[in-house]
Amino acid sequence: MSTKPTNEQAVSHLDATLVANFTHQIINPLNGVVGTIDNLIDGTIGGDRREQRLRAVRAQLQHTIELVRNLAFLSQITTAAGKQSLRELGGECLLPGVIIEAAMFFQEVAAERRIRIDLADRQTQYVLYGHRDLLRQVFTNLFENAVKYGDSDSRVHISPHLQKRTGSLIVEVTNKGEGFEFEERYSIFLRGYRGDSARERVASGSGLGLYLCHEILEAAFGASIEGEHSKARRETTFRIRFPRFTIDSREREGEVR
Amino acid sequence: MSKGQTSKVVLILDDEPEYLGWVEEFLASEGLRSKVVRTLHEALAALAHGPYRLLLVDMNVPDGGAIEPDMLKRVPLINKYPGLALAVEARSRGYGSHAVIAYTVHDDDSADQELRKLHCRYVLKGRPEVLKRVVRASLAPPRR
Repeated sequence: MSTKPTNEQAVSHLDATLVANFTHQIINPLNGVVGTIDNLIDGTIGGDRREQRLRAVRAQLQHTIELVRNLAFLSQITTAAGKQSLRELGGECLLPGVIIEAAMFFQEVAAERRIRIDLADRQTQYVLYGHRDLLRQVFTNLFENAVKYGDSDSRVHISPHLQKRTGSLIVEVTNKGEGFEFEERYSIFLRGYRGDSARERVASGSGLGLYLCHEILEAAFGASIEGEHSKARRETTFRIRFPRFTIDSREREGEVR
Repeated sequence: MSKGQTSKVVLILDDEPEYLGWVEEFLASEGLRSKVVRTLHEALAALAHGPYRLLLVDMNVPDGGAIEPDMLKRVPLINKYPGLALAVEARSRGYGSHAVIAYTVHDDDSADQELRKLHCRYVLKGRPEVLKRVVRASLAPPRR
């Protein structure tokens, strides 16, 4: 006779830690939002600064929504049926637009830390086959990490290019900062994993971002991701390999759609 | 007179200061400047360069390698909440109970009890009106 597991048994230690860390990660930006609104209400922020602060609040909320969205993707990615549904979503997306959209969420926080997000090639319209929201979440998570753990006064550089040898599209996201150890290059993509240098910089984090990047890319785009860090250059690079893509030539001739 | 009473600077220990612009704006409206640090290590170093009018302490921060074994022996909870070490150190250096305000994301009894021993204020993150009230009360001149 089988017995129904209790809630305590059903929730693994990893999941409990993950939820606690995730809560922490969400409350910090929300604390920023509610604090700014309180300042607007009680007149601490007045005059022409009100609009600028409202814009900052909107950006922080958008950023928070993107973080929460990770939970929705997590619920899908952890089941075979969910993964299959991501595969079946289909669609196509233009790479530069998706990258710019994801970068917009971090404008305020990045500006606060004097970090610039640069896309090397905005002109070439690489078309990727998979759902736009999923691809945006991948870049959102990569930028979130770069802005959170990267050095102040630095830049996050995104460079798409064709690899002649394999015929794949390679997209590299590079930033300056502490990074991770060579031995951690695979474990950073595990669910709930947080590297030593991440913990040394910010006490709480969900350990979900890179895991979801890996899973989404594999399930929805047939793509792969790897990470490397150069201590000598203080440079971290995440390299995404898309085997399936085309280039929209209309865009190259200057058409906008 | 408690340490830092005439200072115009508030020391803030928080590992995600990107979201604390509103606190700095509020403190500025009270005529105070903010010095923000991200780890316990940086906070203890900054404490040596005080005095500060107030210390706002996020309890859950990276320690930056600053936790000494004797600290942990005296207050084991520092292992869970490294920020607590700053509160302990500040109190031992003559900062008054009103001058140290600690906060966490989750309401935690053990943190509350340890801060009560130090007679420090404890508030929850995400309740700006409470933090403002506690800060204003701490800045008010003592009743005679």
